[in-house]
Amino acid sequence: MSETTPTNKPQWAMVIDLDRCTGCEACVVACNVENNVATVGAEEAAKGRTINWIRIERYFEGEYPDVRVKFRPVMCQHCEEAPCEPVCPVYATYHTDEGLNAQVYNRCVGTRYCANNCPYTVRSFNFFDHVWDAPLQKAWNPEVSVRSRGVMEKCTFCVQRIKAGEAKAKDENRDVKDGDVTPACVQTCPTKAMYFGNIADPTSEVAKLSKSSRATKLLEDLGTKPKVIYLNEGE
Amino acid sequence: MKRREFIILTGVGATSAGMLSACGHPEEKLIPALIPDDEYVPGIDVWKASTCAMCDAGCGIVVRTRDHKANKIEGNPQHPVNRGALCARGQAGLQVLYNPDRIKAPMKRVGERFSGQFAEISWDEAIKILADKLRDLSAIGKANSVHFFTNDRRGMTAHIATRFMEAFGSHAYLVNRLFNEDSAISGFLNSYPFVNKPVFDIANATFLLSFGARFLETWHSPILYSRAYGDFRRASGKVRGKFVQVEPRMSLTGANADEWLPARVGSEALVACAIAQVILREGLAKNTPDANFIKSFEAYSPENTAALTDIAAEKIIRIAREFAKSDRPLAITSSTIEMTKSLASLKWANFLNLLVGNINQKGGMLLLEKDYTFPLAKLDLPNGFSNIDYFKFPMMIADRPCEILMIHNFNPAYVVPATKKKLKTIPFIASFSSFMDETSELADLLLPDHTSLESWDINYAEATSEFIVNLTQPVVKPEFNTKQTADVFIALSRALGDKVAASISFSSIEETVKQGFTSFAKKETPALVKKKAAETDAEEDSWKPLSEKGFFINKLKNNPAYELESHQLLTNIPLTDSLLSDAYEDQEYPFALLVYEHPTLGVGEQANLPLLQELPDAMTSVMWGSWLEINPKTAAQLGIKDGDVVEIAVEEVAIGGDLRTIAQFEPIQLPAVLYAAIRPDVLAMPCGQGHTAYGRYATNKGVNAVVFTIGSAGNKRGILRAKVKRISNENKLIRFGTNLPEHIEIKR
Amino acid sequence: MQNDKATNEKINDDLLRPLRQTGWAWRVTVVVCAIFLLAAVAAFAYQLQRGIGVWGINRPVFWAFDITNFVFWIGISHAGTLISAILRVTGAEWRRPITRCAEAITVFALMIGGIFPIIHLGKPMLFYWLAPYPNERGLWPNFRSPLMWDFFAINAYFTGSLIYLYLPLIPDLALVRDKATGWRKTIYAKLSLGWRGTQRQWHALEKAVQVMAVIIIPVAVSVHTIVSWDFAMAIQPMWHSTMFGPYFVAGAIFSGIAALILAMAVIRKVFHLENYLQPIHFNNLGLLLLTLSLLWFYFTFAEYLTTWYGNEPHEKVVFQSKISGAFAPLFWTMVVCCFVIPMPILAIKKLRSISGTVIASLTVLVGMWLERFLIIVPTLSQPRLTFNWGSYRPTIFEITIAVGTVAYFILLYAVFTKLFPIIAVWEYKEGLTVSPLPHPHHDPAGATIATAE
Repeated sequence: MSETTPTNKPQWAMVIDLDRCTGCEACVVACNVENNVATVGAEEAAKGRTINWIRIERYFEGEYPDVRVKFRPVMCQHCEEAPCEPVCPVYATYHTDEGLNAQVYNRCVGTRYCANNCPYTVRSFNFFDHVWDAPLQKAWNPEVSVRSRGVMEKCTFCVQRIKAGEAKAKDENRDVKDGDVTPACVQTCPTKAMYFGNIADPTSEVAKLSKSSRATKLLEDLGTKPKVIYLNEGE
Repeated sequence: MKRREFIILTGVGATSAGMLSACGHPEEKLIPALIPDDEYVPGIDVWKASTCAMCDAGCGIVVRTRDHKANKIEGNPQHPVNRGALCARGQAGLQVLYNPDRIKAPMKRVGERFSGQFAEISWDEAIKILADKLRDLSAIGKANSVHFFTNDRRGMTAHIATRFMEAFGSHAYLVNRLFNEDSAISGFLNSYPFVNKPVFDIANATFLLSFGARFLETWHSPILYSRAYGDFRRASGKVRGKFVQVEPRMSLTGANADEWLPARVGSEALVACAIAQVILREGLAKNTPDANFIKSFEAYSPENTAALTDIAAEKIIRIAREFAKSDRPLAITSSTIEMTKSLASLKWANFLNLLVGNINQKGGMLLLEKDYTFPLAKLDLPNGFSNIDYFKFPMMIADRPCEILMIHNFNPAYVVPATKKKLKTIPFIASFSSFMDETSELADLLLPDHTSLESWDINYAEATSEFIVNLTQPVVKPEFNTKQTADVFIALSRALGDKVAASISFSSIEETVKQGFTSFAKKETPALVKKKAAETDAEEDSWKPLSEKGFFINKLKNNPAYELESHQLLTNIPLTDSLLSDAYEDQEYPFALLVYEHPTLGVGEQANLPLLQELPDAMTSVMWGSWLEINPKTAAQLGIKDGDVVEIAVEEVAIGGDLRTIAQFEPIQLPAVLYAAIRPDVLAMPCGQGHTAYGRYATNKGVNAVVFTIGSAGNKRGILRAKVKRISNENKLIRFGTNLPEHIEIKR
Repeated sequence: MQNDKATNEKINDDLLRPLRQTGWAWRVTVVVCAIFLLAAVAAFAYQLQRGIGVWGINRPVFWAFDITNFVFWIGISHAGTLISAILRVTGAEWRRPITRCAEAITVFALMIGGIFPIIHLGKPMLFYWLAPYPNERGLWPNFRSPLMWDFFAINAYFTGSLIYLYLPLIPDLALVRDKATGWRKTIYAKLSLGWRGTQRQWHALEKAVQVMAVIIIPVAVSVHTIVSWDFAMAIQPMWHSTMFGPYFVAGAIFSGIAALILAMAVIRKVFHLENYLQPIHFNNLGLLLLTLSLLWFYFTFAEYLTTWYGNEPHEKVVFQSKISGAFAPLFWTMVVCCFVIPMPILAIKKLRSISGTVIASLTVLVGMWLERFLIIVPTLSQPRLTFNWGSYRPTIFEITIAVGTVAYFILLYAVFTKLFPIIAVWEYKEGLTVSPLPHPHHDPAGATIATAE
């Protein structure tokens, strides 16, 4: 369905080492602050309407006393064959030539079809306009638009940071390299479990890690070709 | 999108690149942290270095500001504690600054006392009111009936308050953490001149045995140890470390362990002893105590203790072997495993470190000289605060004449709600809280402090093997008409005059901090004596780069560790006698109740931040409320389903003196969470909720679990016993995710 | 001839009576329905003002009542056109009193079904962004989206159905025009497009109706197939099914016939048309309903059997929740309503009476609504990553809108019967002449009268 044209643009990807991840949720809060993600309040949260661009999934395995716990940070997987993209009637979600699954808020009319067709359940919908009790809104990141009621939103891989990093590289007349772009979650991760970079560049950290024998992708069998690579626990 | 400069201005290089392009006078613009507000360039980010105040760890932060507003906090990449990382609490720091429920100006009570009605006044008036009260008391010789309490263990407020209060003729008290995470290798080690907070080299350890130390959440310095944990697991060129956690209720930290040993509550020390016994009897110890000790220690064999710890002997033996045979084994422990005061576990877990000889070794326990860990001690300030435990607060105000209570950053009406009655007998209460908390509601005068991001301070960092001095400096102008408490004390001292005025020679906390911090950097012992104007100018040059960096490491020696070998400590170890007593059973109150610090809401200090209220608890996925964790099998026996409202009743605890009345607990109702990873004879609940004030986001969310900590604090066994029953199936839990297994098996 | 003329007059009188006389039942129905409709409008107005959060939808159940109603009403719309067209094309003579009833259902059901995709939007005011027109966004809509296919399919079907309703209405409009006076006469005159009943006009009409009947059948089939593809094109468990197209079309016709039987029974009773809508019609439609009940059961069985046998874990989870889990009560109610109750009623000749078919139709409508709900909600509430499972409860707003649309349908139908003959007069009369005579006859009595005056 989506044609892959050869491009020399960076292809952004993330690697998450589950052996390092502790489930501390620092990434979640960092993301919320960086991307002006709204707090919906207790009443709405009870209805399952929180807005989360990244979440930590926690699974208990086994029964007492042999209980093990698995944590997995899940955000938009920026699939190369994203199921959310073809179903949007107004092109509010589309694939950029840098491998990002972009969401254009002011095109979105809120059919919610994309969210229904996302196997990872990473899309959040703005069921209401959100209230930011003054002066909380002073902490808004001026580089990220605040989403209005009735539109879908999700992880952008911190596209504002990507653009800034690319602009910096361009100013310095070079290609982007590791360290130019660090999304908020990756930046704050206390255990350094997350890596971000250009997977098309074979020398980048993510390209190297993606070849690890521990590398897997979430629901890989669906053929969505996610751009988030998980490194499993263990040796 | 308009392309904009995006500069992380933490290094001078990056700084100049960004600022040179933006301004016309580069020589004046080198240091972004010093750009006066009126020289802000619209649309350009300016990063300012400071110190995180969300817990005591002392992580360095850089704050992204634009157009007079702070919009993101990140870890300071250069800071040795956190190296750019930051936890969930730290990331939410801006919501303290911009919290809508801050007290926006000084206020005095209008109307009835305790009516909660206040009217705004000017700072001059506020300070005059308090100064007049103090002067009046002093005049009638009752200066010692004025008391100041603060919870601020990190910075200079307590120092300045102490100077003031002592000059005035009374005391300032520093209240200890509710969950006092001491790692004192108590008893047999205390005679040595190092501090009671060793640092653990988790990163280089190969086998980590933790006795309830929640080092990934709340223990000492969570980011420092989280970073270490990452390397412990997967540093290049290192084997993957193995991690075993001993605790009755699996914490987030325990959830990351390879093995979880749910020992009976309070038996952690026995588990450590049993492991030590195996190491000794199998000759796996690098250092060995004398034969008599080994002989008498046979009583602690895993076979003998299995019934008491509820951990099979084979498992203990296997783990003991793995531990001792590992390249670099390390044992860590918390003095408050969940809530139980478990000093014995501190001692015996560290005994394991001595046996395997990891003191001051790579991957071991590092013991530092006292000077390294508390730089503020170097300030020319009165030594030794009056430290008190929070649960002694009610007794203190009952025992002493108390005419004026000044209270800062401490909320006794929340942590010990029964003190409200006593607080109400105090004729005058002045609160320095930034928020209208439970205690401030009872106050007569509100003198709101700046939040940390508006303040000047010098802080220490916890759990580092370097001598770090942290700088707290304003990243934005004060959002409201608040005043830093240290400056209030300066103003009060001026108003009172005489020797009180002489006790504080500086005219502002800003000046104090700038000079103090600069002199640290010059490796001088800082003196809080005001210098001449000419000298101050010269200091600007050294101040700028320091303030940009936000912290300072003073490498006084190459090896900060105290020169000590493990075997030196292995003498005269008193064998404790009470560990082998039978496990305590109670028919009426069959459960041990554990109350633990919420990983992000703490003990309630962060409950007013919507970001953290709506952050699902990592283990239970609960948001915006409290819960009680019950083992699913126990719950089934009691007919309790996930989400049911249950009532817990706690035994009456007889504690000496005035606490007697306080330790009777009302039964409380809250939703149950069926929690797979908790002992069947244990109930657990997090602190952090149950505020009756403290702003719109905190008020009336969940129940106050902190109240129970006083029970265990006063209880000899350190364990509070409880019973639980089902009340209704009205599901009040607000959950983010499910408790389902990842793969659901359905038989065909 | 005299006798014929009297019959003509009697037929005209009977079939045009609803246009002349207004009974209390009609008035009560209109008022009650209008009240419910107003309530739904108010609910929607509140939703517009507050946001779609007033509904019970959440993450992960982003669709629920809205799309259930959408699919349900589009299904109902298959009553008409398809039945009337198929029967017309196959020359089933008994169809004659039914056709207009059915065609009207189609048009109104489509009007109502089409409301839901608009009001379910997060930004309902921007619904027109789905239309391909030169716009300031410089964008075509995304033709890869099944929602776009819906947009075109439903618009095509609606246009076709409207024409298909209108064409055979023309001679009757002329009849009414001739009987009416005053402003009504003007309006009907305009609507009847100068129909004079000439041979040429009859020929043209006949041709047009036949062409439309042939065209509308594939359009109708495609519409519900495309609606089913809203789900089948997605990759969610138990949605991604190749069978959904025919399954949905069968289900649509199934519910459509049920709706038609109900409408006929009401019309028969209210307008005293017992002589026109006879047990034979209910019997024949009942047999059709029986066929489709069996067909529905076959499709459902095949769909669930393959899911069970295939044993794909994520599909199995959704399957199990319907068979024995949280959705089991609704699922088994659906099976009872769509098969267990109607099948025996319709299979046993004695029970296939008017009241029998009405009962069967009622249960079928309930069952088919549940079927659509059970296709949408169980799948959405149990996504692949089990951490994100959710649940759904409708709010008063969704229920009010759902009930309001039913009321709206009845209201539209009631008004229609007031303005237009609900039984095609000329077609009925043609039937009378056709039946005894073997060859077609192009001088239907109504037209003769009209031109005679």
